[in-house]
Amino acid sequence: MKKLRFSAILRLLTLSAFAVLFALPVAATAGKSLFFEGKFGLRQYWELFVTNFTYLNYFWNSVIYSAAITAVSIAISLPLGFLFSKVKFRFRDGIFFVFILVMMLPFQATLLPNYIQLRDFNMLNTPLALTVPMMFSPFAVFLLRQFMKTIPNDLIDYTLLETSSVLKTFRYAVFPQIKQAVVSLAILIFCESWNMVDQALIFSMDNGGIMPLSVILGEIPENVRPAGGAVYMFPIIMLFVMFRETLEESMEAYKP
Amino acid sequence: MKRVVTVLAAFFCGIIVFFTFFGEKLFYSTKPHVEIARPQRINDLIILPETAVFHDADGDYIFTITAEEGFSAQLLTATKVRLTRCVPDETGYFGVGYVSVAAEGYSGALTVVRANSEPRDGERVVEGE
Repeated sequence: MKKLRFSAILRLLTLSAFAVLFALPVAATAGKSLFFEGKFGLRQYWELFVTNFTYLNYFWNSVIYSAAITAVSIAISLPLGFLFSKVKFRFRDGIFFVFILVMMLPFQATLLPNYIQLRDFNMLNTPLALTVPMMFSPFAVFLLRQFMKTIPNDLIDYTLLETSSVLKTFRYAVFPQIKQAVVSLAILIFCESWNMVDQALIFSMDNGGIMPLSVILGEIPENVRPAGGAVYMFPIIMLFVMFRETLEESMEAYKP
Repeated sequence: MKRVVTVLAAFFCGIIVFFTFFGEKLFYSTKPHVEIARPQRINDLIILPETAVFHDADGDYIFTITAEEGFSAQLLTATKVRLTRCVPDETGYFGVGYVSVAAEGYSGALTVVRANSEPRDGERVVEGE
């Protein structure tokens, strides 16, 4: 009994230490943003939004890119996930293997082909260069496929008795089962695109005006950097807190 | 918790939208608008328009400008420079409305020659009407 209690305390202490370690940079940034030239207040935010007024242009760039990438990525991944999980066709597993392979490749490995394609399509240094490559997410297809595999085939068969429309089948039999997974995936994709740096620096190196906030953050004046960081973090933290339950439930619901 | 975050999120969005539309306008409208020029030099004399000289109980002073490239716009900072000499222009080149000035360390830096309101020492100013 004593041993059990000791291990529980040890576990709690370890987890608390990690929680503090993870929360510390966020709390420190938020705390520092409330001081400007040694004085407590919101002056740093005023300086950020007024003296450095173009900061918000980059903020909106990030919002637009992340929202577009998330929406299109989900729209593309849903039918592909359904295709790979529920529709039987020749070479299905082979094609899916290629998908997984692409997912395993690091960003640097696909960088050059992406760059050449964007250059050939005259898309370099345009907002499309920062969004289109990220809209095709093998990870999203993989995750949705795994979730859709857990949907009983009988359910789809019953729905097919009612309607012959694939869209209706998808809407009434598949989508309600994976709604939470889609929300979770949307949050993950949004966070990933919100934090993009490498692709923005490389695909848009001659057009600084279209950069996302993640790239510009290091260039804002040092005296307002904590406020800039706090504003940058807020949407992600807000999303996490608002959809934390959905995220947890979708992870728990997934049984391979 | 969720309700608190929702309220905070709405507040955050409101602030972001407000400053997106009004941030730049506030930058240009909350600071003194000044006209800046380098002073004229005749021999060893530094000549400025009378409007460049401000007065208080301790005497006359001018504002020099330090310009630096900011993140969104050029940042101009006004620095108060106390004058050791301020007499009407005697060179005959400029005449009425001009004064000959001297100050410690002042040799021809960018100077505020006209302002819609008097800047404070170290205050940021905006160039233009």
